[in-house]
Amino acid sequence: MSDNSLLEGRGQARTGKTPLLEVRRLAKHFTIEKSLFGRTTKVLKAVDDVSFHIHRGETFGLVGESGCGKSTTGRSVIRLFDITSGEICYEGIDLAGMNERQLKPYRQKMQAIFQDPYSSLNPGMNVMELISEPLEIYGGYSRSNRRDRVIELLERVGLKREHADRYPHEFSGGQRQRISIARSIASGPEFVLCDEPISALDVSVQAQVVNMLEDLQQELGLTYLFIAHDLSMVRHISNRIGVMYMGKLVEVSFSEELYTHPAHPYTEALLAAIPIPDPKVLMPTDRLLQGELPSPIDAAIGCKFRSRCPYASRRCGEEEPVLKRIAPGHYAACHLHE
Amino acid sequence: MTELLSVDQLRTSFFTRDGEVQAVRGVSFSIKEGELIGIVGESGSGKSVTAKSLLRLIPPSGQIVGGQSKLRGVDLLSLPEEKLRKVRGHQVAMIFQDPMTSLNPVLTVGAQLTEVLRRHQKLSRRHARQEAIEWLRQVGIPSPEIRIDQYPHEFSGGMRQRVMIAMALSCKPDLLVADEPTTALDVTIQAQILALLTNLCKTTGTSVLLITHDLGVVAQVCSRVIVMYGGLIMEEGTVEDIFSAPQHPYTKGLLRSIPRMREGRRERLVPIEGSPPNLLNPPSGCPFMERCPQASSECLILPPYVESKPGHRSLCWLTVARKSERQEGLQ
Repeated sequence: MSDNSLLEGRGQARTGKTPLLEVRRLAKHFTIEKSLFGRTTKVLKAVDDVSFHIHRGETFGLVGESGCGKSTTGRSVIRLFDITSGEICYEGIDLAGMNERQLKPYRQKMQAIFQDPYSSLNPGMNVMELISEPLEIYGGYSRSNRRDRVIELLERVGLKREHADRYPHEFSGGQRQRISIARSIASGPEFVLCDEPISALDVSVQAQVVNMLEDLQQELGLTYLFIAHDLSMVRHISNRIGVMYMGKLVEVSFSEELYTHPAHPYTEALLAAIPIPDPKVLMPTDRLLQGELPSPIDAAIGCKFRSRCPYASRRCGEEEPVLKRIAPGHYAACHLHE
Repeated sequence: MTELLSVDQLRTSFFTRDGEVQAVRGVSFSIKEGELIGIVGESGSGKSVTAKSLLRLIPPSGQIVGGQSKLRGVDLLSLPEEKLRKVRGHQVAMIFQDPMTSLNPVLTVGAQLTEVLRRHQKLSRRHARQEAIEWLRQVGIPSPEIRIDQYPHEFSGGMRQRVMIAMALSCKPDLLVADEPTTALDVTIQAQILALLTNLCKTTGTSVLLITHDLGVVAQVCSRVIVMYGGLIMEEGTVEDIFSAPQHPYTKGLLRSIPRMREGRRERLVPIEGSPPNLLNPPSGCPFMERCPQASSECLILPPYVESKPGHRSLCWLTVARKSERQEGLQ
């Protein structure tokens, strides 16, 4: 199986010590149908046996089509729900079995920014209340100190002091995402889950937010798990990237390596489908993926990608490939690489 | 190529409680037969309202305040409703971003497809069904004989968009208006749909007006691009012109703000600071002025369109200045 001790990194921000976050054999199954007596009869394996790690100060990107389990993986990591099995080790301590009280100190260290800044901010709270809420919960600030801290945070994310008394609906999408960012860094986290943070924003505003995330990472030494479907943005921001397909991690590598030497046929097809903003570089139409995602509910034996894979052989239908090291720091789950 | 559609000084506004929102503020362009033309812009730029205004499909709070939109010489904006209905779907078809809301959930896919064929092509019930199956096959839907009797919810997002394309192209329209047709889809499905759309339109000779916010999609699909901002056309040219020699600071800014796929280098992105203008009280001058790094007091007045080369025009005082410099140089 994907032996995680093999998944060692290299390059910047690696100390050689334990990674900040280590996910081992994570699984999250959802019950779709129950029998009359409450026995689960149909299961959706949203995340199935996923292992990876993230070093301190690193950005790990997760990409894949909608429904591949990338968001479920991210939300499992910050324990937004109970997981089915596996370990989520934060600085070596497993969070998987913890209850809410045990989790509280980790909630302060692990924060999140979500896709839709329209629904992730409470419309009934003004900016001051929104940003000071985490300060209240995690303490350490007197009432007047809190106000100063909120204003400091607002200015840090490029908003103004006078914005503090306004409500979310008075802001544009980009400004709302800035408020979300200020709120997420208020408690002084080490790890931030960025779940499609720029997908809902206009092209000209996306770059503002991405630059801000990069600056904050530098300044505060943050570690990011960056989930997005915009592959060129993920490449831009991530040190390493994991590619998911139907609940499985099919390839992990350094950003440049992944984009220049994709090893898994799925990664190859995903990259070929990116519309390149240059009319002189045309899309390789011969490498486009045919067909759509098969139903995730009917668990098939063998490689999940084989129904769409141009290289599928008999073996792919009988035996599921596991994540194997094919180059330093580069892992792929495909029988072609053996 | 002869001219198919010519839009002249189109103006569309929405009348809200707060006042008149001028979404489209005098847009002129034309589409030739068989041409694939793209309109790019951010939300609120007026791209989608422009497209919907062409077929008078804007919601009741909106109103076309002025201009013409001539399809083969006939102005669609002044056509009586029942004549316009014959144009819609027959000569001009439209597909939208979300195929779930544009398909009727209580009718089978077949019922909706045959309705178009029977209405516009006057086909018999049996003949229309055969034709519909053939179209489903053409847009790449497996086992169309079975699929035709299914309901939209039994189709995936990509499949629904294929059905929409089949429906739109089944009457062999002269023009297909595609409003963000792939925005809701995954990249792999987007690539399939775009390939399908361009191939089918090439074989049927249908012109396409593609509305999108994705510069990559435009670069891959279109031959000509219109860049919109603040309800106005900022720049228009061939894809080569726009991507390799952009003239307008907004176009330049937009191209700089997307990550370049260059090997081995992580360059810092160059964003456009600020946010798009409020069209409730649009600036009388250049709408991009507030965010433009090269703005001057001249920009308080709207510049005229100037061609930097034939077919490549932009709305900027800098282009005006460059043009007059060139002319002086020639004299």
